[in-house]
Amino acid sequence: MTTFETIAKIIAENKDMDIADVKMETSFDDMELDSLDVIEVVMAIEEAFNITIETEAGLKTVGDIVTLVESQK
Amino acid sequence: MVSEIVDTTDEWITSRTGIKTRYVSTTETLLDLAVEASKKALASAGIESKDLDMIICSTIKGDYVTPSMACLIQRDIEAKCPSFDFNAACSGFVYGLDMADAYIRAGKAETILLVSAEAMTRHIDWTDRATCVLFGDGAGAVVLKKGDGLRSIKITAKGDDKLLVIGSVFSPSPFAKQPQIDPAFRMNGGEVFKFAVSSVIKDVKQVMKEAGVEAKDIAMMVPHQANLRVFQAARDKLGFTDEQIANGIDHYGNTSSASIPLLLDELMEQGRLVKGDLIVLTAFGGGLTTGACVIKL
Repeated sequence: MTTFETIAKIIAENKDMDIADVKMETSFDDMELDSLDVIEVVMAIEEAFNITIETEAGLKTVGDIVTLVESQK
Repeated sequence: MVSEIVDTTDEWITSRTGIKTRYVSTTETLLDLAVEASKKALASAGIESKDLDMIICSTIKGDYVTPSMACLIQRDIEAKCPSFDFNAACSGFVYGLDMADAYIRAGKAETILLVSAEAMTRHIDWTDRATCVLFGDGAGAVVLKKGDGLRSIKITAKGDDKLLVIGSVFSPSPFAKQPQIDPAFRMNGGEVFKFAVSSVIKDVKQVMKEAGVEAKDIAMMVPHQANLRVFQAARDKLGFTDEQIANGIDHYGNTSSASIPLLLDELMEQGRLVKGDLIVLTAFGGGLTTGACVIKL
């Protein structure tokens, strides 16, 4: 699985969404996730990739998280 | 209404924190609250103040730097024992239980009054809508004696002055060259949320394992009342149902170390917790500190 696919799966599972609705350009606002939802998703991603993501990094879209994760792999 | 002071809405606050109302002291001092809680705890335990061997008060800041809150509580309830304050921020009640347990085990005290008293609304920036909506004032107290109720306990600390900070206010000195520290509560909300959820999961798992109990044995988990979303995020990973998670944040807000004893008293009074019930307490806060324990009531 690519980084994007793994992250999309985590978001869909954590927030009970259809994975087809999670795209690179999808914003958290589009998915109706508030700041704490985003942090919960970030925590699940940190666990899955065994990395630390700084939540103050101004994450707005799924792509923002993918870029951050890729930079730490 | 806070929404009349800063740009926020009841819906925003409720969905992100679980808070509907909280108490803000306007004329009562923190000592007034602490003495009231202490007298109620003594009456409920059937203990006279002269029989206390020690008074311990957890607070991030009392009415005075000195004398301590505990010394003034001692005066006002007419006790005669050694008395002191300590600061473990929101984890103060669990830290206090651990300390009282140590004194009692060592045979240095038989009966201890543990008070948690916090006036958080004195330490917030009332123009910051992200934090001024979170806190309330309150005090809770318990009387502790030798027994086998405390099944397991752990406390932790990880020194940090970045994630959650309240600066001290000092008297001006012509010699002071140190940088001024902002006296209002400031936090990195996202990182504190991560810290809170992960420490609750880790600490609660550990104390339940040490006590040899499982989620189904627990009548209720009583977490430090900081944010409903923290409990919800930890709930599934710990295997608790919604009914097993005590919630007082809707009517108290975050009262720091006072939140657990305030809620315990309410749950006992309502008969939702009864003698013999197994409960888990879990707390996390400034320091950074955390604490958790399993208690048989």
